[in-house]
Amino acid sequence: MVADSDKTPVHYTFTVEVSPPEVDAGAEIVLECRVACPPGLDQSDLSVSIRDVDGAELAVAELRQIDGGTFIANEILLKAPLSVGEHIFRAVLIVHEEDGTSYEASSTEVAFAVKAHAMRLNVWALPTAIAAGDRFTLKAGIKCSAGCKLAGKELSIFDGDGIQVGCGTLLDEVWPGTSALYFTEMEGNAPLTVGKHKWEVRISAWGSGTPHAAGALTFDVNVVDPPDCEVTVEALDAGTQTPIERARIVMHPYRALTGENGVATLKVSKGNYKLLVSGSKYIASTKTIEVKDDITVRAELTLEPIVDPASYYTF
Amino acid sequence: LPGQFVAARDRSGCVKGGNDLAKKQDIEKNEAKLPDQTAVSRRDFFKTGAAAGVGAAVLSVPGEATAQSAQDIQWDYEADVVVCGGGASGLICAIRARDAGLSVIIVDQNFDAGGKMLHSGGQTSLGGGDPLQLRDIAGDSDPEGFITVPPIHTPEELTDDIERLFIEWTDWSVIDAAAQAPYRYNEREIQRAMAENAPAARQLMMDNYVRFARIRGSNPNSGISRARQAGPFLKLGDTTDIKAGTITREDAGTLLVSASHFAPIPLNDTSDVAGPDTVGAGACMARCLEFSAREKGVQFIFNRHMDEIIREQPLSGRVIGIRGSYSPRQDPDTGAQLTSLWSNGNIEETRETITVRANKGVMVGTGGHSGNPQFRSMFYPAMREPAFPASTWAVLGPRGQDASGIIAGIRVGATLSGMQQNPGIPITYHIPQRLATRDAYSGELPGHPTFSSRKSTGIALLGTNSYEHLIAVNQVGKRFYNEINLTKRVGLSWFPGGPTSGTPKSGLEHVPLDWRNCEPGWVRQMYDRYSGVDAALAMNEGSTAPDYYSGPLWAIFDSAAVERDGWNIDPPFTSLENGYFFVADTIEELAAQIEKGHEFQRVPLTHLVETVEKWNAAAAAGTDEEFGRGEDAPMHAIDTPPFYAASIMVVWHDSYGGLRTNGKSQVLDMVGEVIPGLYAGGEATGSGNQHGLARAHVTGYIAGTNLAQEA
Repeated sequence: MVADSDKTPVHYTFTVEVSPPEVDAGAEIVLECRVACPPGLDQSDLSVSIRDVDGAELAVAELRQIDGGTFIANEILLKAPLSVGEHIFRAVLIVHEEDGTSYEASSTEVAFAVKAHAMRLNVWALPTAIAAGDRFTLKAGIKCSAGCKLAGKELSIFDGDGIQVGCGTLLDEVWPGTSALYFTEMEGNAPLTVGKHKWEVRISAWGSGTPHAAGALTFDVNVVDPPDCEVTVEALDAGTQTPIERARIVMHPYRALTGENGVATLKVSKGNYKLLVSGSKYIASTKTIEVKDDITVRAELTLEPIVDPASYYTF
Repeated sequence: LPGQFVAARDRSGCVKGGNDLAKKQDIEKNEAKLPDQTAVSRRDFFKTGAAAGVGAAVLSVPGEATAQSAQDIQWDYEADVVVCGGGASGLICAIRARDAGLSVIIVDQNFDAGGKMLHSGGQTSLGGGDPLQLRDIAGDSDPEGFITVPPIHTPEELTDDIERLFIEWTDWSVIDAAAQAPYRYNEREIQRAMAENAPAARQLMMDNYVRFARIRGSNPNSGISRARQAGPFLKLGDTTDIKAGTITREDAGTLLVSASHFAPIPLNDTSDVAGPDTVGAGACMARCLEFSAREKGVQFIFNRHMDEIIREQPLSGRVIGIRGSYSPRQDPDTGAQLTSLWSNGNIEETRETITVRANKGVMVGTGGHSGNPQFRSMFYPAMREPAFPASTWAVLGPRGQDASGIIAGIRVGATLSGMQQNPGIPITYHIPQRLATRDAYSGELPGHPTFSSRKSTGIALLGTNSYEHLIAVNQVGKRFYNEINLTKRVGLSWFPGGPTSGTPKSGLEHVPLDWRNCEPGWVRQMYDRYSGVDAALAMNEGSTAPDYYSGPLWAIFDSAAVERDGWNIDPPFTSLENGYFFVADTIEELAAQIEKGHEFQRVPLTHLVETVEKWNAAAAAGTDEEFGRGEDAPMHAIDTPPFYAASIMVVWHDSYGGLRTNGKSQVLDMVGEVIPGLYAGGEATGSGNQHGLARAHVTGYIAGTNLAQEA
């Protein structure tokens, strides 16, 4: 029980730090309280009471002495309010006397900001070259800054003119390997004009329950002429003449991986290309090719040299 | 009896307790009255070698012993020879001295023997007509007949002699592909002695259970006209039996699966250079030499960091012993103290400080300075950055390679040599192709007691091209170099040499001391150099005075990269506990995790999100205007979650430069005079810049020979 004290008032230096100073609605904040007692004061029984703006007690913690006249309570965990904006809690220092009485010796404000959960969007598995008018797919995912479940939320895609060209619903399960990245696969038709088109994927804000901010991400849809040639690339080890599987083939903006037979096929438009063929452990091959018709290109790759002979026995 | 250990003597010279083991003495009272006279100023002077930052080497600066009159010291142990460091140089020296009938105590800061040799590849370039060259010329096998493959090189490529070896090790005309002449600074007297003793050093190892495979090539900077390099091996069998030359699969370890206490890195298949069911690496050599040393009666005091060499007077008189402090290592997870694989011959000693008297001399085989950021920054100030370790960091612990032997030598008047040789070979500081582990030089696996110190083997990339799948960023999250070239190193000078190694003619065609080897036209034709490590160490927005640390480096990639190049990112190759690997749903979260979870990440990766966006735009455009990617290898967008960050390490491997010694491995003072009773070998010395183990072996061998001749 806290009672008034008839003792001479003692001046305590009482500070409280809040981390983080800006926090997602409903997320955890950590308070660290530090009290410096006046020199010579033999005080060993202190606690702190954290109260909201209405005076309701949210937490109580004992302070422990770390040296001389310094006391701390450094891991007071609290949940932030759900309402967005500036908030002020009050931390009250309570001194417990040997006779069992207690009194409030000092207090300080604890200010922090609550924000709506941020949406982090991502788009992937989008083809690097899409023929004009062709149907294509992409994956879009969203992560809430607080890791909230987003299954069932709607995503929309807009073209450069702000016209909605697609929508999707986030699936129940998260993307493999992630903790809370909710995703969906979306399908649509490429524009009919060749070039890079700026599209945007968006999610609207919602305030029911925990507030979430709107999110958006701009991405490029690279539209090309319909391909009229087929380029077959054979990747081979220059020494053994054996095929190189999973070699990366790039004829910008077209790309492919070779199969078990070391062969990849790319459908491209006529023109001049820089052909890059890269295999793990090999020096990448670069050559310029002119594509006028269907062609087959052979790329013989040389293994990277051993620069340190000690590496014969280290790995 | 010659070679028996003698008990420590009391001050009257009477032997206390008289058996063949060194005895402890009660020194507490004596230590309590140690005066502290000149110690303060000396300590202050040398504390520039002290560690900076977490993970840096911690140098002990006791300072008291030399303040005490040497004759007042009450010794805890005594032997004819005290060897500081049980690695490549120290073990050979100990065996050599012991063979000559001397009592030997090895003092090592680690909990086990072997030093860097234990986790090395074991490659040893000797030559000069050494027994292996003669064996392979004759086409003979080893005594057990384990070697069934024919010699790799022709008799001509193996025909060698001491004169040729001496000339090649001092040949000013040989350059590497960066047009540096690595041999020009080699100390001639030492190189002569090394050449003369190379065959005998090889023989000593072979006489002490080391089985060498066929000679193949040579180590860098070990000459280029003859093949001189061979590595050790053992035969897989039902038991690990050093005498029989066999090892179990369990002790040998299994590639990509497990290691063992015997070998921190799994032994490699050596069927191509020895025969079927043979395996090899440095552990085969280290353990065989250790076994033989123990068998011969060499004693070991582990967990004992040599802090101080004790001389009769601070800067004059004989070196008469050492002072060492207790340096036990614990498993960071269990708290259990780490112990040596074998214990016969161990002296268990836990006092904080002890002294060991050396009747004939002290040999410094403490290794190099690669683990001491302050020391190594003498060569490259940017490498004062403590985020970057010495190779073998986990096996040797935080005090490994801490320059302690060199510093202790300086304190009793020694001078240095060969200091300029560090920048002359790209095996000193470089960027290995291994991500996600602090000890990025090697692929240690679970099974060795020190694995819990590193917690991850690391992601072994498949070559420089594997870097096409990632971007490399600095501590603020900015790219700094063309990733494809980041780990590239110039071709080194090694047999058979030739144009890619910097020399116009290969092997037998090489003409020593020919000015044409380095004439300007040739240099212009073959010159090659990469600056990835320099760019990695460059200052950035997160660098602050006074040291302007460049901070850690991060490989940023996505799950598509893992799939595309087939990386194994599962434990034990990575760990989410050691702060060297992170996975996140978004790039923003990845940056936050790195900042929170890595011990040397001092600033936020403010630019990482923007850098990835910029990179993805470059990949979509097919050109990288910042660093020229896309010209030499494909670019891939980093967009498929989850996203990963794995540490890229600058690792300091070889140490060149150290105590100046002479052709007898005696340490010299500032005026070139011998410091009586003080010897040194290996990376603690400036004896030369041969890569590999041979420099340590031969200088240790020479030290052992000459210690036996001390009065």
